[in-house]
Amino acid sequence: MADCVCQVAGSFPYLKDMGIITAALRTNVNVTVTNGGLVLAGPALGDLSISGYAPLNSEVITCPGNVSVNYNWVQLYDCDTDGKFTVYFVPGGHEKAAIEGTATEQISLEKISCYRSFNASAANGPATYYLDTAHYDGYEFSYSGNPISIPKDARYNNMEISALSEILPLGSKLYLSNFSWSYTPPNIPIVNYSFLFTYDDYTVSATC
Amino acid sequence: MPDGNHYVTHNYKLRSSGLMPIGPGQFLNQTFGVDDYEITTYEASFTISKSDDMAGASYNGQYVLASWQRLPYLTLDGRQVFSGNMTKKPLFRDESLIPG
Repeated sequence: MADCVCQVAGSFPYLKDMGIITAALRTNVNVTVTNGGLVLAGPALGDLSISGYAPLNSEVITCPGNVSVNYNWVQLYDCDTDGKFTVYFVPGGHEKAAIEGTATEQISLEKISCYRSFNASAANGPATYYLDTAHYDGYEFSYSGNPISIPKDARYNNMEISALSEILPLGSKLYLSNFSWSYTPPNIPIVNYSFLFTYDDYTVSATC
Repeated sequence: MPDGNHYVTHNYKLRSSGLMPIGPGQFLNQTFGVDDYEITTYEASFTISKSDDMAGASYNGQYVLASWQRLPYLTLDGRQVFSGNMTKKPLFRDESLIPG
């Protein structure tokens, strides 16, 4: 394969038909060379960011809304097993999730607190609108919508997403680190996913 | 013994008396040679020091201090590597050895 291939984003082959707006993949095997000339390979990690459209089913939502979720992972290294470098993602506690405004029914959250949130500015004239919304914090988040649903156990399990298997390195384990859903009527809601992944089935090579 | 690329440095510890006042604002510092600690630093070794290398554990042990950590890397053929340093028993030397 050439070092770069120019393609049209609209026909991005791996994620077509999923309503993907952007997709960015970075992989990295941490390689270092000692002063003595010894080549050392560290953990193989990567991150994948995807944004896409998340059409509402038959819901009618008249208020805007934003949902954000952060998952905490602690990375632990193991180089004792079979001469391979393995990175374990250990859950760093419950996810932190928040809903501001109105969220789709496709989102489920165990709410624990609620408070008001608004941002009013008359800088562009006194008739400028502002929204007074309710902000909920919670946990036990799940999302059943498109393009990629998120189960409750995403906070302590890796996710298996068949549509992504072609773009990820072989043997990748995918962990969700961030998710957001945002909606401004009458547009189509937009979702953002950020994943971390690790793969131990690799060979350090100067060719792709 | 550890292997791989390494560097040797020396740490000199001056043997001296306490400061002795010999006049207003004047003090005398009398020195009695230096303890010369030879420190070997390994950047990536396949092995680490053994108990027998240490002076406290073996009559032939030459080292008084060792510190090792496994590096978060493997060689391309899957071997673990360690970095660390070992400090030899000090040698008593003349203080004129101290640079500066």
